[in-house]
Amino acid sequence: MAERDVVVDKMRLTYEGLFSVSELYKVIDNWFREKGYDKRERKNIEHVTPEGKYIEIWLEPWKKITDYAKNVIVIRIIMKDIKEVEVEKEGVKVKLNQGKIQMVFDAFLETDYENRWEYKAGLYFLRTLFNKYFYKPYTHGYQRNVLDDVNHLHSTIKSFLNLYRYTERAFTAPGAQWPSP
Amino acid sequence: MVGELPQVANLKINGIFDFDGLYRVMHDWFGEMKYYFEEILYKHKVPSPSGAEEHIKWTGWRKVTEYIKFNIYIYIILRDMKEIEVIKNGQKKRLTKARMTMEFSGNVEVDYTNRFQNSPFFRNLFHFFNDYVMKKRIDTLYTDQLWYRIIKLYTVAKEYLEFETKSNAYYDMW
Repeated sequence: MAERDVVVDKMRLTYEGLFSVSELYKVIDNWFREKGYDKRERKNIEHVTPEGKYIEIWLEPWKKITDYAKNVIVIRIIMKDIKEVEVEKEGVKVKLNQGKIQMVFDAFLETDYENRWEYKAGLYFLRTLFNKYFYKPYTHGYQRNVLDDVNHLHSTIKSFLNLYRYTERAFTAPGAQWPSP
Repeated sequence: MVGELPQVANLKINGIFDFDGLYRVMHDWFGEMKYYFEEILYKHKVPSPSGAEEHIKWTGWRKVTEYIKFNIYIYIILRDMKEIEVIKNGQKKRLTKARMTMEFSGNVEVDYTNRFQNSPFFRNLFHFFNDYVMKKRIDTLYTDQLWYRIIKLYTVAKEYLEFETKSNAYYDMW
């Protein structure tokens, strides 16, 4: 088994209000693409409930740094009571969503992900020795990179959601009529 | 001999959707991508008051070279399944109300014609060939290609089911 060093442990982000589910997903997906991560969506759940949609997404993208180490970021997103609403943005009617979001970020540095150093006890011993004394500066550097990535993603999502805070709320009741001018 | 991929994606939906349409769209995707499509399991359990239960397994395979073959596996589980009739745009439509899970996985199969399996010498040569000669090529070219093909199929399913998260930033990969 490859070894996973925990770099970020349950960093959270919560939000309640207006936003667009599809745009939020696009922001996250594009961010991973731009940073060179491979896509992995372990879970994507959509339930329709009387209070609105329940959406749960579990993303686990990874990026191979070397043949020995790779970054893994895990994001679990739970969106509750998601309703579709119409708001006015710069005089134009726009369809948005309203609801609650909870996000949990975890990040790992996975070493020896191809399990090359585990076949024999001697190799395993060597790997531990190398990790502890010789390879430490490198793994520290990689860990710092994962941490920077998670912080950047967190602030990107935060600033994306903050954009909606200042949206003029026309009305939020689903099924209500758009007021005539 | 196969190089297993971990589970690529997993999709769950609870609500009303057009399962027949989804079946058709996904089946067509295999045809368009030149994969042979096989339904290796179709299990329908006797319906209970909450609805029927179905287990479906699909395999799509394609020969990429004389040595490499792609396999895509989809496992669909439908629970509390009921056929309902709805009126959409003034037209009657039969839809499915159910809890559905779809699991997407696959593997890159090497030496699918068993050319290297006839003698111990060739079996050893086969391991050497895979582990040292072809390893990088299988990892970076074929496994990656299959991975993003499965992601594309997964996106097709999400688009048809009108998921809020149906976009795919990796649409131009392979």
